Amino acid sequence: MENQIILATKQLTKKYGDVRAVEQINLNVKKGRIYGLLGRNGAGKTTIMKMVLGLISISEGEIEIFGERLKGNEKSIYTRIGSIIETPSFYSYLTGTENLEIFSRLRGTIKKNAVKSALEVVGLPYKDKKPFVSYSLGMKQRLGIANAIMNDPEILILDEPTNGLDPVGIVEIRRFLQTLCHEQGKTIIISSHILSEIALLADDIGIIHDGHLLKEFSMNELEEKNKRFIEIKVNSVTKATQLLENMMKCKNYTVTDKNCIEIYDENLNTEEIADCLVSHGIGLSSLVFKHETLEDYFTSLTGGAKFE
Amino acid sequence: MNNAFQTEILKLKKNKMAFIGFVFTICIPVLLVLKAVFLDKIKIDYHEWIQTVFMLVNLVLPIMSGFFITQSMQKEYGEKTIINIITAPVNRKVFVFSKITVWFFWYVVVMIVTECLTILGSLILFHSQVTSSAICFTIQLFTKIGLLSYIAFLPVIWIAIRQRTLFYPTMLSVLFFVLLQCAGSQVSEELLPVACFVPWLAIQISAMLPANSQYLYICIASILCSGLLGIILAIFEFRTQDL
Repeated sequence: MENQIILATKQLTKKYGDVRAVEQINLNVKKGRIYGLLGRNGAGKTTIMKMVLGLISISEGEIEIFGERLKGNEKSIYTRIGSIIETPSFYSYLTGTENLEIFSRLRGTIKKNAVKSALEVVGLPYKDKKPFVSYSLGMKQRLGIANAIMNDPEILILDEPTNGLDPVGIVEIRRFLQTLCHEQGKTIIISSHILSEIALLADDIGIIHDGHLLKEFSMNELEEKNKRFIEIKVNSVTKATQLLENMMKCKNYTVTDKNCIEIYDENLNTEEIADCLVSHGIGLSSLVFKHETLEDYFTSLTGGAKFE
Repeated sequence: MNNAFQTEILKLKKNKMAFIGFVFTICIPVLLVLKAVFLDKIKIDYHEWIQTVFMLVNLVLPIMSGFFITQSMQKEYGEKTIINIITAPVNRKVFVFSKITVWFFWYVVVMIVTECLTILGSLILFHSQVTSSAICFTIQLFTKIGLLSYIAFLPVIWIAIRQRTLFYPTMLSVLFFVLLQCAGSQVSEELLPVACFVPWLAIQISAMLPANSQYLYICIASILCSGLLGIILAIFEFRTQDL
């Protein structure tokens, strides 16, 4: 089941006149996993999601969902997908319950208590009198999630669903999404500007930059290939590198700053390095064992484009 | 289609614009009755009173109707609920038709209530002059002009879809159409052959022409073309629109 592709895009391209917002994207989303779309603002994440949901036209390429090629607004496919795109959008003058009743009626095929149970799941009151316009940003996000899960979809497409949530809310939503995915077998495609959030949540990741999919990998693969290294901060990089090369026979290192060195030689241990440097009169202010994070990997892939 | 229409009705229940438009329009015969009872010193004629009501209703109802559909579409784009609707999923053509249907539903309700109040008012003020044929004529005229006006104004929905969140271009178009509709009653005989082809001018012209006039058919054909074109353009615009 884990390797079954539930959603795939082939050479997916979106053009606005001469501008290519998204170019030749080949996404492969596996069933029952959380797929994180990473990219800076304007990278093309929302455009991809909108094309998948039929909100914007496809300039080139194709999308396959549940093994079927998407041709238009296929009801049989879209009733199996729940989504939040950009911000949760509801009628400002209606209450949360009224809003969900409207969208449940539009879907037409959902269970009797779907509205009530969806609101319960996200912790919002049923049949309250508060109009949507008076909701806090967190409540709006919760209502958006309630709307997305109301018809018990197989795929959830969530565009920045934790935007505006407080830290507790973010943790709750993360746990909830993990439960949905790992216990109920839902497939979730999520984009977020909070990179650490994606790192904690996603099983697979696609890195989008300037409309291109730079890399698609699983978090397990990333952890396996992540470079582990020792970072030292010294008062003299020149002397320290000479010592590393001559005394410790270490050639596998990089000077990253005027007083910072990253040592990739796995045979060396921290005590050995500290003893050698200190005994030769080099001031050692820091020595830590590190490994490359998703942020480092993202930065290296996007050519130094720091994540916002 | 049924689900989409039902949800439009649910939205209508708390739609302030729908309520304001309804109240403004139905107030016209009520206020004119009050004016005739309390302000008019010289007793006015039944036909004169009916004409005044007719003129004002034909001015206010299309404006309110334009406000209604403009606000209805603009809110979907402004609050981005259109995204939730399309991903529900609702067929884009069905969505446009549900908007047109609920607009028509609102329009007919307002028109009927206004007609009823006008007849009631005329019975209060001119009890002896109001015959059953006069009532029939009033209903016929109000309904005919009302429906033709609704059809001629259908391109407004296309403009509203095209303008998305913008309110003013659509409203300006509505006011321009209303202006033309009012000007229709002032068209001279020489201009009639040309004016018949302009759907908004043709609304009032059709009320003045005899049933066997060839110009009446041209008027009705131009109004129907306007309505049909409005629907086709609205569907085409919405189907090709990126949201």
